[in-house]
Amino acid sequence: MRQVIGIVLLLNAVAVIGAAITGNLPNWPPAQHDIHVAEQAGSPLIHLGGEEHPSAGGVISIWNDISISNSIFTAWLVMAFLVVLGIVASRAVSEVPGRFQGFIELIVQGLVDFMKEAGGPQIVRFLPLFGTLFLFALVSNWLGLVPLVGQIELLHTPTADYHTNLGLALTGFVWYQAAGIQQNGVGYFTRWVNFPAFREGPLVGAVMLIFVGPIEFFSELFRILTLTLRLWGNIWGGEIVLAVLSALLFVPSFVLPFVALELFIGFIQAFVFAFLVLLYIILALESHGGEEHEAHPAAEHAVQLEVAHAA
Amino acid sequence: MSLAWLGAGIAIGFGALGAGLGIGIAGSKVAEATGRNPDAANAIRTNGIIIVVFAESLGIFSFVIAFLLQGKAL
Repeated sequence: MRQVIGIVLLLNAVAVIGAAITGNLPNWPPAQHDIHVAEQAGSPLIHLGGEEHPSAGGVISIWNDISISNSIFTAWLVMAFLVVLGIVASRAVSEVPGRFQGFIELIVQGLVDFMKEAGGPQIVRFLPLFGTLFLFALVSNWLGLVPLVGQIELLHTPTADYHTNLGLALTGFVWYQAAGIQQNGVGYFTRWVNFPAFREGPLVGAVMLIFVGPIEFFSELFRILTLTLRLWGNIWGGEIVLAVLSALLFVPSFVLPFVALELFIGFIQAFVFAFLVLLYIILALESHGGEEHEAHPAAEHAVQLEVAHAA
Repeated sequence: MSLAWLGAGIAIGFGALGAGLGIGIAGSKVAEATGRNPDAANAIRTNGIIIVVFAESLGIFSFVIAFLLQGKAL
């Protein structure tokens, strides 16, 4: 440990002295243009349609700029990595796992155990969605810490571009609505239009129909917004923090503790994103107007969490 | 236009204040609960992270708003 710190400090000293000798020392205190902050959305690499230079009027420019952006390209790299990993891991599966296979099994088993703990055994059929969201977000978040990603034209962290996160959030949204409708049929729509509540009396029915229904409906839309912005704000904000601090601290590796912090945040945010989609699926599966009350403790737990969310 | 800078500062400042208070309260309760029932530490930690994230996301919203305002000021 002491040796590692010594080597790191030595490399820093070599870098700073080398820069000083060759006259490449960065400005200190840094001006705004010395800090290369990653952009809030990817920039187009190949234009397919729309305006060449979208007007600066709107922040969200989904429709007026259709292009292959650098974040899409980086997302392809992430996908390729995950696909290759999956193919390599599943091609030669042996009874006695080697180190690599053991590692992969550890990940998958960890995900399955977590899902079982959160929503019971029947929820494990959503492992493809949960695992994909988690692994994609995790690899993307961690890719943002690699040098050059987000700093050069070709590479931009996918999850530091809100379009990618919106896509992920919409995927989760469609999936949990579909799961709820598949499980509960027409009864699923009593979440928003609760006519059965009129059995409890006209006042209860009216309150449920006029107040609770719209609130539920808007909370659905807010789920998309919060899922998108939480992941994007954390990852993009983390990149800004790293850029600003590495400019302020001057010595290259003094920023390493913050890189460790960003590693942790990247993991937590990927986990939270996937877990929230899972939670919404659990809630959608059980939104049954309260007829079946054999729900296991974990599900009640999920409902409590939802209450905490709404509050 | 330069009022937008002020607005950005106020937005991130109060947003971070609220999120920090919320995370602090939730974190202290998580620590208390873990101390009272160390066997359930794993479940408490998972739920604690989830709840803290809800508070944190409000701070992130204020960060986003502050950045949008800052972009307006430029």
